[in-house]
Amino acid sequence: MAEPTEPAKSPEEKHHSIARGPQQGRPRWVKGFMFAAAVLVAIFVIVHLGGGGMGSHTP
Amino acid sequence: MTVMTTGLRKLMLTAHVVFSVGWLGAVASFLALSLAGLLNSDPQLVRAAYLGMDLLGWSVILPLSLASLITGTVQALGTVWGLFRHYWVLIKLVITALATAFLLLHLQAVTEMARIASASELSPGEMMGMRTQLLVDAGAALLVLLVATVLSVYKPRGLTRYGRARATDGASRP
Repeated sequence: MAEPTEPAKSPEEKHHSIARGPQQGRPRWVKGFMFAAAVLVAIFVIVHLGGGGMGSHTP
Repeated sequence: MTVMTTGLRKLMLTAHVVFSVGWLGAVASFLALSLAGLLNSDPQLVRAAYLGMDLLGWSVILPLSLASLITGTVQALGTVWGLFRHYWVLIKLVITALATAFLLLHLQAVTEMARIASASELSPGEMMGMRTQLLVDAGAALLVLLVATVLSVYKPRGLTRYGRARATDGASRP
C-alpha cells in the first residue's frame, strides 16, 4: 500500500519530506530484517536438507 | 514515470489492499484446514480438509497473490514512492514475489495430497511428513504476509542507494 500518510501535501512534497530522512547507509531496521531473513533461510535449507530435500513435499 | 491521478491512485490502492488482505485471510483459512487435516482422526474430515486446501489454494490464494503483486507494482510505479527507492517498498516486493513463487511450488504438493486423500482413507499416522510440512508452510506464509502488512502500514524510513540518487537529482534541478 504505497500511500503517503499526510493528506494535506501533494505527492511530490510528501516524497521530498520522506526523502529528507536518514541519507547515509542502510537503516538499522533493514539490517535487522536482512539478518532475520538470512537466519530463516538457513533454517529452511537445513530442515529441508535434513528431511531429504524438497522431495519431502511429494509422496 | 507519470504520477497517477488521485482518483486512479485511490482505486489502485483499494484494489491492492483488498487483494493483499484477502490473500492473508485465505492463507489463515488454509492454515486452519491444514491443522484439521493433520490433527483430526475422522477420515472424512481429513479428506475434506485436503480437498478444501487444494480448491482454496488454486482458486483463491494463487489469484489473490498474483493480483497483490501486480497491483502493488503498478501502485509503486505510478506514484512518487517508486519501486526501488524506498526499502519498505523494495522489501515488500521481494517478499510478495518470493511468497508467490513458493506458493506455486507448494501447491503441487497440496494437489498431490488432495489426490491421495480422495483416493483412500488416510490413517492418523500416514503421510505425516507432508501433512506437517503443509502446516508449517502455511504458518510461514501467514507470518510473511503479516510482515508485509506491517511494512505497508508503518512505512519505515530508509532510501535505497537508487532512491538517494533520485532524491539528489530532484533536489538539484531548478
